[in-house]
Amino acid sequence: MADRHQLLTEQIPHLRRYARVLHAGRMADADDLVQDTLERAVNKWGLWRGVGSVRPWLFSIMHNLFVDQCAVRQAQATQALDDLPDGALPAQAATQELRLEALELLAALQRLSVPLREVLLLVAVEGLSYAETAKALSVPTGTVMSRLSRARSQLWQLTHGEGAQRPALRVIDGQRSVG
Amino acid sequence: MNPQRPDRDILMAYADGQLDDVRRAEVDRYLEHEARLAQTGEPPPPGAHNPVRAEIAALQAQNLALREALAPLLDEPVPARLLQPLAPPARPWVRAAAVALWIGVGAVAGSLITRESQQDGAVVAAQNEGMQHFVHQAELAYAVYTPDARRPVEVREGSDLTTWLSRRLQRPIVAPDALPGGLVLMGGRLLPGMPGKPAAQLMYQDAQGHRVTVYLRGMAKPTAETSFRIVPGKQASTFYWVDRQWGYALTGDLPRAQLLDAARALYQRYTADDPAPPGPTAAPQA
Repeated sequence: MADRHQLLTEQIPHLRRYARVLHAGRMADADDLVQDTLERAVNKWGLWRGVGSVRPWLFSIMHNLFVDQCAVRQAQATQALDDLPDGALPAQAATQELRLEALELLAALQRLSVPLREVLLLVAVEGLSYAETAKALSVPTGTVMSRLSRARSQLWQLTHGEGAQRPALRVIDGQRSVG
Repeated sequence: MNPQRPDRDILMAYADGQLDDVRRAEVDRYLEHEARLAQTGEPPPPGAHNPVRAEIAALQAQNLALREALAPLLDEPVPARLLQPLAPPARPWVRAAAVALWIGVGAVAGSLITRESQQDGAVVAAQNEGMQHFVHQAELAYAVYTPDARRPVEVREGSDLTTWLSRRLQRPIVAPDALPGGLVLMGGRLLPGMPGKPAAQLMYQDAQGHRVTVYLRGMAKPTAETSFRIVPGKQASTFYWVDRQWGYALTGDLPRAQLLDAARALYQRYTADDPAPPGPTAAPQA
C-alpha cells in the first residue's frame, strides 16, 4: 500500500505518452484520460494483485475508458480525426530533439486506426508481451498479432510507399469489431 | 536438411522477442543457414524474395524508430494535477493536524500546499528528464549492435581501442579486459551522445555468447553521484549510475545478480584511482 504512490507515479509518463497518441496529440484530452485512469486505478487498487507489472493493468484501464469515451462521442471523434492536421502529435515535442523522420513517422502513426495504433504502441513502444497486450485490450492473442502485422505494413506503406493514400476513417468501426 | 523458412508471424514474434527458446533457436538456425548460402554465393531458396535477416531487421528498425520518435514524450514535466489522485491517504491525526493548520493559517497554508504539489510535479519531471533519455540511448545501442553477427564492434579489442575512445570522448576511457561472469571484452564503438558529447559503447561476451554492453557518455549537466539503479526490460536489463558528469549503463540479457556483479566491478575499476574525486576519474589504460 505504501508504495502505491510511487508505483503509479512512475507510470505517469508512459500513460501520458500512450494517451497522447490515442488522442492524436490533443494534450488536454490526453491528460484528462490519464487523470481518469489514475483515479480509477486508485479506487480499484485492490483489484490489481501485484502480479507482474502494474503497467499492463493501467493500460487496460485506459483502453476501457477510451473505448467508453469513443462510444459516447462517436460523432465528434470521427470529426476530430477527419480534421486532424498532419503531424498534430509532435507539435509539442517538436521543440525537442525530434528529427524529420520521427515527425513523419508520428504523423503516419496518427493515420492508423485506433485498434492498430494501440497494439503497435503497447508492443513496439511500451514493450508489453503479446499476451499482456491481449489482456489489456481484451482480445485474443491471435487478434493482437494480426492487428500488429497490419499496423506495421500500413505504417510501412505510409512512410515508404509511393502515393500512400489517406486511409478511410474506420476508427469507430474498428473500435467495435474485434479482429 | 535445410531448415524451413519461418512464416511471417514467427518472424514478427522473433523480432519482438516473443518466441520461446525452442522456436527462437529454430529461427536462429534458419538465419545461419541463410548466412551460409550468402557466403557461398548460392542463389537464395525459391520463393524467398527478401532474406529473412532483412525482414527481421526491418521490423526491428520500425520498432526502434517508433520508440525513438516517442521517447521525448516521456521526458515532459508531469502536471501537478495528475499527481493529486495519488497522494497517499494521510493518517487520521495527520489529517486532523492538516485541518487545524488549514483553519488556523487559512489562505497562506492553501497557497503553500498548492506550491508544494507543483514542486512535486517538477521533481518527477527532473528525475525523468535526462536519465530516461540516457538509459533509452543505452538500450537502443544495445539492441542495435549486440545482434550484429558480422560487425558488432567498430574497433576490436587489442587495437588502440582505449586510446581512440579516450581521444574522442576527451577523457581517459578504461576498458577492462574481462568482467565477472566470464565476460570478455570484444571491442567498442563511438556513438552519438549529446551535442558536443559523444558516447562510447564497449561490448563483452561470455562463453555462451551472451553479450553485454557498457554505454558511457558525458551528461548534459553534472549530477550528484547516484547509486546503482536497474531498469528491467523485456529483452535486457540495464544497470546505470552517474558519477558527476559521466553516466554509465550496463545492459545485458543476464540474471540481475550477474549484471550487478559486472556493474560493481566496472564501478570499482572506474573509481579505483580516485576514491573521493572531483573531475574525470579513471586512469588511462593505453
